[in-house]
Amino acid sequence: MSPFVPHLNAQSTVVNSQNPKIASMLPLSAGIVIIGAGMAGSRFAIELARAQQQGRPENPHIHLPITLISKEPQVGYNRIMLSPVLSGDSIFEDTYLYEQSEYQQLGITVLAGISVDTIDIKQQSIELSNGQTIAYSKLVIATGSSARIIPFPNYDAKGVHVFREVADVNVLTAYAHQGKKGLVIGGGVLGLEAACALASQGADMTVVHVDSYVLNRQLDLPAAELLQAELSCRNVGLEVSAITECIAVNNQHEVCGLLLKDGRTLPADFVVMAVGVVPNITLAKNSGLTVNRGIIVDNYMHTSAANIYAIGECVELDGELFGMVAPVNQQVDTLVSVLKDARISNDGLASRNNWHPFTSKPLSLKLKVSGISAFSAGQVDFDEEEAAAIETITYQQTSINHYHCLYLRNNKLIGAVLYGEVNEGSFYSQLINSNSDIAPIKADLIFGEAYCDLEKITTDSEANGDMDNDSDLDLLSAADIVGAAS
Amino acid sequence: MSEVILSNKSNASQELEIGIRRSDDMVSPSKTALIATYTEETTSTIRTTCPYCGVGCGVLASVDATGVVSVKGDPEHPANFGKLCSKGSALAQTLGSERRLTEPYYQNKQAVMQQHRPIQLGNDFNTIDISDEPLTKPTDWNNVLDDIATRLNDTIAKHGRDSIMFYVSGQLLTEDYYVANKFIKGFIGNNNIDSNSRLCMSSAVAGHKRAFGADLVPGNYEDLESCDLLVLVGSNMAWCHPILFGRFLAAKKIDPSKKLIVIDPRRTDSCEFADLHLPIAAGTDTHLYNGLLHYLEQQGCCDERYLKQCNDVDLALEAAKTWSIDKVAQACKISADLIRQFYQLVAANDKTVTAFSMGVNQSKSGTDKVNAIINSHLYTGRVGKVGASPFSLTGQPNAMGGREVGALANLLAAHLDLSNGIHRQLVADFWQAPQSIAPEVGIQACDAADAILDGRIKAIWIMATNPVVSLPEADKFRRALAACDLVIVSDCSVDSDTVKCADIVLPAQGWGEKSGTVTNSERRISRQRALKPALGLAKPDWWILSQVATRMGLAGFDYQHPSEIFNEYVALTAYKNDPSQVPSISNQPRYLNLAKDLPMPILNRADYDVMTPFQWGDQRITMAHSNFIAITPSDSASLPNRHQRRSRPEANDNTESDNREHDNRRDKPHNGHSSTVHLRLITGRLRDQWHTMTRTGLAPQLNQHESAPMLTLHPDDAKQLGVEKGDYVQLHPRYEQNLPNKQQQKQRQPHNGAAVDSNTDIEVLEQKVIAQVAISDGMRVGDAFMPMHWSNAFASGARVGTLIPTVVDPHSGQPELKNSAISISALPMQTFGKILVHPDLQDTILVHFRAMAASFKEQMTDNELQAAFSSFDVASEQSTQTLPALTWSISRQTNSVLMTLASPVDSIAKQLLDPEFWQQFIDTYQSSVSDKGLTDDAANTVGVNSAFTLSKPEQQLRFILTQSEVNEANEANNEEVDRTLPSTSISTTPSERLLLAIYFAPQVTQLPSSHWLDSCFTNTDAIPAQQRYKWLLAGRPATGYIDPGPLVCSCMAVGKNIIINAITKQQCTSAHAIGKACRAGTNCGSCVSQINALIEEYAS
Repeated sequence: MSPFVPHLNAQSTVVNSQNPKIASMLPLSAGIVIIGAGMAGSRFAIELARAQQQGRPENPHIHLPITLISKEPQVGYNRIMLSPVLSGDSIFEDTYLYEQSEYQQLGITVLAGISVDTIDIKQQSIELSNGQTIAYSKLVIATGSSARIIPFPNYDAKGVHVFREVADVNVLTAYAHQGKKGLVIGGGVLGLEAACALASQGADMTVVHVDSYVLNRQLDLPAAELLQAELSCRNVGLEVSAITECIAVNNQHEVCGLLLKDGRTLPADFVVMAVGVVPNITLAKNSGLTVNRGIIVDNYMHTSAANIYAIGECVELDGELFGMVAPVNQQVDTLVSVLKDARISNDGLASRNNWHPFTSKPLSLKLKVSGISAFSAGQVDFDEEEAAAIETITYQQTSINHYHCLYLRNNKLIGAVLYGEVNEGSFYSQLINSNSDIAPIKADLIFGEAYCDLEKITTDSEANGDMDNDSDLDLLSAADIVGAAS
Repeated sequence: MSEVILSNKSNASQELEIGIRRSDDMVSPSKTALIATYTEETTSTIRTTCPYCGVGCGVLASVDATGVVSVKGDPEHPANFGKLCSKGSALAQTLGSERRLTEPYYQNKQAVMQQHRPIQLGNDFNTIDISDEPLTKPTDWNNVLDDIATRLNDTIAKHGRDSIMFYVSGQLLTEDYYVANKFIKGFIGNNNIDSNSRLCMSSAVAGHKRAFGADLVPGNYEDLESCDLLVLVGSNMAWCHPILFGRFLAAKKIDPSKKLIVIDPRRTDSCEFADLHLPIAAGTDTHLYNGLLHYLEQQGCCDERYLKQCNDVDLALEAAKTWSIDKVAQACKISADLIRQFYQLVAANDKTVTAFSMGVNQSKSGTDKVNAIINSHLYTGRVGKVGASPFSLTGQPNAMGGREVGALANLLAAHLDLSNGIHRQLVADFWQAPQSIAPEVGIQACDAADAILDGRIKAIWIMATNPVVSLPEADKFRRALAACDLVIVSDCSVDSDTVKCADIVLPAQGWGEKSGTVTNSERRISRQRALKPALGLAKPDWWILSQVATRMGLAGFDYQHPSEIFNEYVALTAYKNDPSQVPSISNQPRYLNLAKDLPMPILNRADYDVMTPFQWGDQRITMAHSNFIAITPSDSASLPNRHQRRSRPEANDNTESDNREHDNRRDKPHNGHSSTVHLRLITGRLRDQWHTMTRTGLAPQLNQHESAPMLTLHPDDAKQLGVEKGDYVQLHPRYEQNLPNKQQQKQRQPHNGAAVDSNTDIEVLEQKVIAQVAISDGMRVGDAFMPMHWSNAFASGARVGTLIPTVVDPHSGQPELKNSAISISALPMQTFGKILVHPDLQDTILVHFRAMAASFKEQMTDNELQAAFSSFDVASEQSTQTLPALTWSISRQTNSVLMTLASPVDSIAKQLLDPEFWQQFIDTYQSSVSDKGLTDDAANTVGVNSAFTLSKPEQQLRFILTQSEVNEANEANNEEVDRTLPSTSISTTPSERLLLAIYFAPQVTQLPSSHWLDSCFTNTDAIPAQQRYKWLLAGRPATGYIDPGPLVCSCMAVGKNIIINAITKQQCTSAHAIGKACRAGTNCGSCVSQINALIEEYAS
């Protein structure tokens, strides 16, 4: 799977330009090329460069050069932060993950506003939309995902939008400022965030959700009911168990509403479709990589092609897609461990021991709508058979709408829903991820970390490293350096 | 009428002005000195007497300018010389307005008794519709006194003089006692007055009268110090008379050769200090003392000279002569060696004091026990000599005073003899009674229930005692009160169960308010003085009695001040008191002549106010004539033997199996254990409680010693039943309860085992006693000990009186209270609870529980009800429906009331574990608050907050209720704010107070401890608002809690202070290290620069 690459790459030129524009015009050598400068790609570029420097601080020039190719003109912003931008709580400049000068300082060649047309996996080169060809010794695909669009009749009408990119923020904000009436299809995280953000900006928003309560994959019913009550307080309308038949349009093919299966038509000036994302796999697929819903990778982020890796929302591992920050960051860390010493990594066995395989963990979710705190981690939805083996511990403070529910099975915490106050969220997700036997602290678990003597609990050996291990250190070291530099 | 009502202020202040310093026993006002003068501004110190046991300790009470009282022992009082025990020391804490009766009222007793039944599934809550009519109706003194007078006169007219009874108390002052006795014996014209001393001292009275011709205690407290040998018989002196015990121990410390012997079936705390403990089988004291008399005779220990003034010596010796040491050992079920050691010590020590108490008196052979003890002293001449005397330790503060004024059905007054016609005439003359005094002994306490149920008694007036708790067959007495035409109860506490059974409730003054005299165990008369004005409309008992008597048209009750009563009593003791002229029937001189002991026969108010403690009848009384009593006990030691039903084959030790006869019947074994175990019940006191806890129950530190009803068992018995410490057991009486119309009941109420009195249709549920097990090898096998303090006010089912059959001593009428046949069975609980409740909500929550049990019954069919108890072995004889739905007990903490709960019923447990049940309680509470308007100030806004945690399927619920108040009135009056709130608090900040903290779990160990929680009731705001509910639900503050401060890392929700703590306390010097320590900055990383800034600022 990882074939021997015989060259130390004599033709490679170390690019260490102070100016990405100049760099883009330079002939490119076969270094590490990253396609996509979203959260995964940009983070990987920075982390890898740092890891290289740390590994051989005395000689920063012996590493493979890093090239980061961004389709969007903006490189390395935090897409999650677009919700506060949409609600006006943040400005776009706040969303950058790294100082733009960081890339230059670390010697990363950034090619922005350019897309990749093809990958030649035999020649180990890519062709850019500007016609350039770049050879690579390692290629990292981080093309991310796109908003899913359900092809309802008239889905292409004027006024139907998604909420994915900076451009979407600008358009939607304009509607809101005019006090337009909007519908969000999809009561998931993104849909609710968009609806609340737009409502706070002046739009008259209603969420149309196909299931019986919002965030039904992340929250349990009591928490969802509290959330729905809160939405209503914020003048965000809600239609649950509502199945969209088609988008209603006027004779200019502009949105004028939504026709539901029950026959009602909800009037609207614009519609936001927030029904999930689809991985961007076209490039990979066309280049002959094995894909399914996403690009198929193994635990070390290898694709089916030699020297090609994939990370982020575009990948699929064991049938699972990854849309949250935490697993994507872990994928970045895994790949950094694989590629940080790329020359010897090709030797295989010796360096493999230093690789940190990526394994999927139960996810935690924190809803980012200002003023609404909700948190979900692990499994919170059970069929009847499962439910019989589940213990629950709930906490409720009715007058201030605080609700916590912990789901336990065999003295292990497997899920948590927190609403109203989510401070203990990271504690619980840590316990979920570590698969710890929490029997000794079970009685105090609901009261939070301060009540639990963690020394009493044992984590199972497989997951043992996770509470305290090197990948954690790597993850943190990045932040350290950012801080030190600022 | 208003002019006859005492002006409390003037009288109280008059008495308050006086404090006196005296060193000798004689009253000599000229020598007195003011300790302090009572004024509005200064703290005054008042000499008074402790209201608890018969030791009668002097108390110095200080009252500060705001009326706050503090107490300490009076260093000059000859009983205690400055020392006070735990109960006396806590007196000041019992003086608040909490749980007090403050106004007279009429009561729908049937409805109230309905309400105060045990919480059982069998209850038909709605049998009587009580929702419309108020349960009580307040009245004023003028009306109620007229009404009582009229009704008593009517009762006499209709049913005769004998249809009225007074049941009085050793808690009364001598003046109260005197008036009550005079009222009924002299003027109503019957002897139907009995005192709770009947349960306490009447065997000692009868024994003294038999031996000495009058109720005379020969010795005094100094004898306890000067003796060489102190024998305690049936007395846990260390707990019950701790100050006296301390005096002996102090003397023993100086002279360690002094010996202490304790004779008690239980190894009590008094045994800790004993040289010898004889754990004799209960009820075998007479055997032991017959043996002693025989031994003393054999050893030639007689005092020939003293025997010359004694009668019937030979008869007594004859009766004792078969009692060899071996026979005694067999009877008492202890080793002969122990007995021999005891006998030898008594024979060797001329200076022997035998102090005896309830273990002797409260027995069907109590009088014989007293006389058997006295016999041994008479034989050796050890009576009324320094360090040598029999000594009766009285239980109550003024049992002696009551005996002196004759307030028992078989006594007259002034130690005169009711059976002596000359004496009766003397007293009637003195009182100028309208008719002669009846010669017949009146109705005694233990006969009262029958007398009422038979229709002989139509009106009963109960004062300062709680017989529905303390009498044997207590439920029968309760039924009798339900059936009685007129029940008047005078008391100072709402927590008397007897108050709930009254038609008319009268608020009496309590300690610290009332004023008069008491007599202690060594015949010392001391003043109890008022410390502060009476609460509400409370009145002295003598005043209430005198008012009723006067309004009945009787002359001789126009007292205006207790000194007038005291003077009259002194005059009676002196009236025709010439031994040569008026000998008592046994030819004893009348030693009680207070006029001889006082410097002047008539004390004016000032003299009375400054009267110092004095002992009547001299320091010691040397009897002119004494009688030996031949003691011929039956071989069967005690009652429980006749009730033994269970064989105990494994108990092959004869000396340990006295409680069990061998027969063939066995109870069903259960998991290798017996489903029931037959035992002997011994009752007694706890160290820190007094009587039915109406006073001591108010003092938090007195409730720490034992805060829930406990039954102490020997480890073997616990093992046989398969119970462990803390497990619940149910106690069953083993006597035939004589229920009226039993058959009829069964037809009418087929499902609930309740008894309905045919006259009144009141359902009075027979109550089961439930307790938690304590295990002690200080118990004899087969014996069980339970405290006598618990009442319905403090526990749902722990009135031991209901277990005790009415078996009385033939001479004294005193019931056997320490030797009852019971059986116990384990009561497996489905849930255990602990509730800390604000004192204001205490009653509300109990009402809610009752409603729950009632509504539960309504919703269930009989089959479901049966199923609800499915955890029980229904095949056992136990009627499932009479099991308690809920068992609870109440213990007053410093700031809250602690309720300990448990339920054996699965479906009730489910209800208690349902947050919705508690939400309903909140709704009830809120509506009651809004009805009442809670505060006068409409500006106050009140909101309640609740929080809970619920574990499924572990069945744990924790529930918190708080109340927040925004007191806008505070803004208007800043001065007040300054005084009541910390200076930093802002008046508009809502303050929050804890009302209720509820914890239920399937195991007791899963409940939090209550100490910290209790402190939260006054200090709720001290808990950080963000953490408040979690802390309260957890029952403790978080360990290492740091107020997080403003959020820095929002992904991981880490506050600034947490990060600073990681820097300063955990030596984190990099963002990386901080991430490791508290996870800050480990997700999106956007706060790392802030973290670094904090490192720069705080790392040193």
